[in-house]
Amino acid sequence: MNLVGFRNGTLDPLREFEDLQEEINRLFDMTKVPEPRGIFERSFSPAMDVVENPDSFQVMCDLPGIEIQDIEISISGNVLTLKGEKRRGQKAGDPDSFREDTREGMFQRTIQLPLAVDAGKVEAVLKNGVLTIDLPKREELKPRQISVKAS
Amino acid sequence: MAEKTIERKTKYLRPRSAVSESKDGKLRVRIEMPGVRKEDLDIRVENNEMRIIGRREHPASRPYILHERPEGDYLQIFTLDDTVDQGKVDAVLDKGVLSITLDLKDQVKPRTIQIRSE
Repeated sequence: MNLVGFRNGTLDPLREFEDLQEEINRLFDMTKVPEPRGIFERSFSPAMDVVENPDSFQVMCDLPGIEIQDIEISISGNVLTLKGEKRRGQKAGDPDSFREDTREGMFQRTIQLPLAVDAGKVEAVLKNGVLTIDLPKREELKPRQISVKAS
Repeated sequence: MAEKTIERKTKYLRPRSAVSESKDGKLRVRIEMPGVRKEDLDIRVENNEMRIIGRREHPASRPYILHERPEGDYLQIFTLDDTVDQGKVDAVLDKGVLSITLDLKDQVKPRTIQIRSE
């Protein structure tokens, strides 16, 4: 269901080396490293959880240190796109970094939900660095109980 | 020792972090702990160690259709050397990021020597 996947798969060392060799071969042919564009314009894709409730979907995403105004949520049909920018947390004048594995820069994530959602009723809350988006299903797509009349 | 045995059995996540030193002799540690509330944090400084535990809510099994976010509490242990003043530790939690400021001992802080003119 992912349009843009989250890389967290198991490592296949042989495959990784082949990919690396291919990448290096490609680099030799390049005169300039192309800049990422479009859906690749990101430095990381955050991990997401999606829960399906009877009448809505709930999407949760870890976005620590990000301001709500730096997050952009867009919905088209059943495709949800989350993008934004994580600014550098350190203040200027703190150049002596010992170690750092936090991620900064542009992030983007696009997922396809199983059903179209009502884009007008979407609510998003950012609390303690976790973004929770409530996406109500469209009225006509909600599961309905159809009663069978005995004849 | 008993406490350590329990810890190994529990699944802890290592949070992403950044450590830097400012020019005024302070160590800044930024630890990303999304989903941790202020009251669920436990920061302990003892035996030249700073141990940070961030507990999170563990929701009961939910109807996930995509489940990528790791579950578990956060644990990070930093070893503090002799240059750190263990009495001066300041911690702030904001937007899921814990910022800890540690003071270096006065004798190791960078100093500017004033030059007197005769």
